[in-house]
Amino acid sequence: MAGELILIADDEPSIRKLIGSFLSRRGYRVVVAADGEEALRLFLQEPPQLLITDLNMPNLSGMELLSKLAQSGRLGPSTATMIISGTKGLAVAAELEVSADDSLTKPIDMAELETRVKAALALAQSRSQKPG
Amino acid sequence: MPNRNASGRFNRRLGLLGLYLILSLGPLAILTAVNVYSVRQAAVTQTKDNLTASAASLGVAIDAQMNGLGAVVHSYSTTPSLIAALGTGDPLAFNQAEIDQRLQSLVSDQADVVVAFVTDAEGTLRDSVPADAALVGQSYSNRDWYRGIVNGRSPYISAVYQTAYGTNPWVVAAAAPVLDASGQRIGILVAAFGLAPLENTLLSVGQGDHIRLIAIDQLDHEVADTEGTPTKLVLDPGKPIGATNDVTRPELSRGRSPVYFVYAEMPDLNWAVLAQIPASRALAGSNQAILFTLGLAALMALVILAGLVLLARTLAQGDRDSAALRADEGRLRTIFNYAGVGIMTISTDDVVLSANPAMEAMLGYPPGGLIGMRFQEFTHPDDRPLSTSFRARLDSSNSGPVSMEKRYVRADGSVFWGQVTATPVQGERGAAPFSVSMVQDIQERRDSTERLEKLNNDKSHFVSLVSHEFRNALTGIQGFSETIRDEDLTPEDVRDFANDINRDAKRLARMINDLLDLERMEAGRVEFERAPVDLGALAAEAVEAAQLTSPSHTLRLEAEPALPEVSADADKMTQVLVNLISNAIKYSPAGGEVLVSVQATTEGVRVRVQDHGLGIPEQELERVFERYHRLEGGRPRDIRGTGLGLAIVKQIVEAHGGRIDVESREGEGSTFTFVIPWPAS
Repeated sequence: MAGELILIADDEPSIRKLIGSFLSRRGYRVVVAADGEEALRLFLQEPPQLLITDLNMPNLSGMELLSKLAQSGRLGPSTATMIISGTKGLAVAAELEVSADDSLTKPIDMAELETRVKAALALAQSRSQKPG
Repeated sequence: MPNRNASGRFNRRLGLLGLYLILSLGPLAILTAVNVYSVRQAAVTQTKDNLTASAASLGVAIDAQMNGLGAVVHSYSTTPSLIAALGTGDPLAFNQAEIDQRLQSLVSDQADVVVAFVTDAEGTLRDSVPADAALVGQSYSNRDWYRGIVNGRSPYISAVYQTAYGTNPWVVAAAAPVLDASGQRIGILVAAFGLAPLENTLLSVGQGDHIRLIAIDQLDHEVADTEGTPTKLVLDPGKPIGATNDVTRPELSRGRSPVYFVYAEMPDLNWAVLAQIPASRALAGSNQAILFTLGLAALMALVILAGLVLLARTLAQGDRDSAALRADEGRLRTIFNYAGVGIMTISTDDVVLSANPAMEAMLGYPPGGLIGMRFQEFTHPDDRPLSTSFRARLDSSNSGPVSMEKRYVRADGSVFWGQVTATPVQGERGAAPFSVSMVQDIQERRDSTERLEKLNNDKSHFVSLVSHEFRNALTGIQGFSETIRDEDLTPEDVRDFANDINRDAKRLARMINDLLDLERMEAGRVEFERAPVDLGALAAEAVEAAQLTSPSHTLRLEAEPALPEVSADADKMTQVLVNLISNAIKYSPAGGEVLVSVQATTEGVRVRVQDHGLGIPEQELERVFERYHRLEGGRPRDIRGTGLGLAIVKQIVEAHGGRIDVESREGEGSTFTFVIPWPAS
């Protein structure tokens, strides 16, 4: 199903532009946020099928963003979550702590990103179709 | 002086020991002497008693024996047949046969009769049994027995003599006159007895006891002797026999070795008995007792001497010990006075009992100034509860030292960190327990530890920061280049992405440059190319360039015209200005005015960069120039950087002999001011 909504949160403009344009060209709808607060606001406006968030962001970090969404019950099964971090260990730890679906370590291999995004979306879709 | 005292004490000790010696050995010597004397006296008395008893019993025995012989002869002399045979006393009218028969009867009746004979009244022998013709008609008026008879003794026991009969054996004669009816002596009956019975008597009495018994006749002949054959010689009555019976003077006795003797006379016979014993024999028993006494006394003396020697040695050891103790105390005192750490003794109720000079200097008190204070008085108020619980821990711990770090307050009120190690001490000999505290000023160590910790934190922080920034830049470069390679893009997009790649690469290069610059400058390895520089002109260029890249901010320059030049590296000055201006822009995210002013002052050229942005929290002001430092906590993170910019600026300014300050108020903006001094003329 093409046209899934993907929310990208990263304080680094290059990354936003890189990932955003890359995924746009793959036919996804892309919204970008420069920090955690903006990402939260955009998420609440329209919950995406995939949230890709950097860990290290001003105002509201990636961890805080995910925790907040989970605690408020707004992070439903139909949204897949993916963490991007500069440090692999940190990414994995965060993934475990906030039960993110996947994590990526910078620098990002674009082909890898595409595969992971597809897998995450498929996971979210299968979760949302399960009864209950 | 100490030597004299020591020798004086030594002499006193010696005198005391001498006194003890006299007091203990003196009585022992007296007791021993008295004992020896009384033992010897007892032995002498005993000997005297023994000798007297022996002599007396022998005297009695001899007396009885001799009187017995006398009685026998007397009884024969009074037989009527013998009297009749002698007739009127005319030897020519003697009835030889009757006389012979009487003599035969006497000889056969009595044992040990060597010869029996009858003389006439004048002592001429008329008949003898056994018969010996050579004797008959010979006069024996020279004999002792004759003199005895003539002197009226009857019967008479003679002194010993050698008889003319036979082989001339030694005999003692018992003589009795033969008297007629009118009492006229008509003849003399004599029986000469051998000495064997006498010797047997002597031996039977004097057996044992080592007492030598000697029988002496009236002419002082030695008649019989329990030791060997008697000499029959006349003993010199003056010495010793008959002279004295003082047994306490054995040296008076005859012979080589001294003897004890007793001289007992037999009044009837006019004989005597000499009983004597060698002094060595007599005193053998007592010698043993005396030896035992002396041995015991010697042993006691030895014990006393050994005790005194031991005492003297103990005293001397005590002297040495106390000297060693004094030396130890001296050393300890020296350690206390010169120790590099503070040392205090503190009573259990927290009062300082003593403090060494280092402790006083550490706390800034005069000598003795700490004594009597409570330790809480110089403990920082915040650390008093901790310090009190520390004391409680000290009291409850049985022996081991306990240690803590706390702040002390000096006499002038200044504060320093100290490490105190305290050990509880049980007072000696019932003295009150106290504690010994050693205090070390650890302010410097704490400072450097703090610095190190901070540096370490900053480094870790820097690594993660740089890692993050580097990775972001690399992600851009890698991602955009992959996109260009893999995707069908419009030429415009390609140019756009190439720009992004270029920008990220530049950012990476700048970060690396900053890092290397700072490292080199901090290590002093950067060469500054000094030349006359117009800071006003450089500021104008920097402002212009910044204005072009930041259209949302208003940049304003206030520079005095015709500023004097300073000696500086123009490139580095530009770097300083660009860094400060870009910081001002970065930290004014909402836009606004950035004012750059350049002024000549007495010190040098002063440059100010003032913004109306976020400002810097007060607690961070001190640290903004430190490397790796970036404003933390709740700040917009899209303000990028490695945290090296201001550190580089400070290094450059200070390398030019200048200084840099910052004033700021959070929410109102910041003003950075640096001064480059005039060149030295």
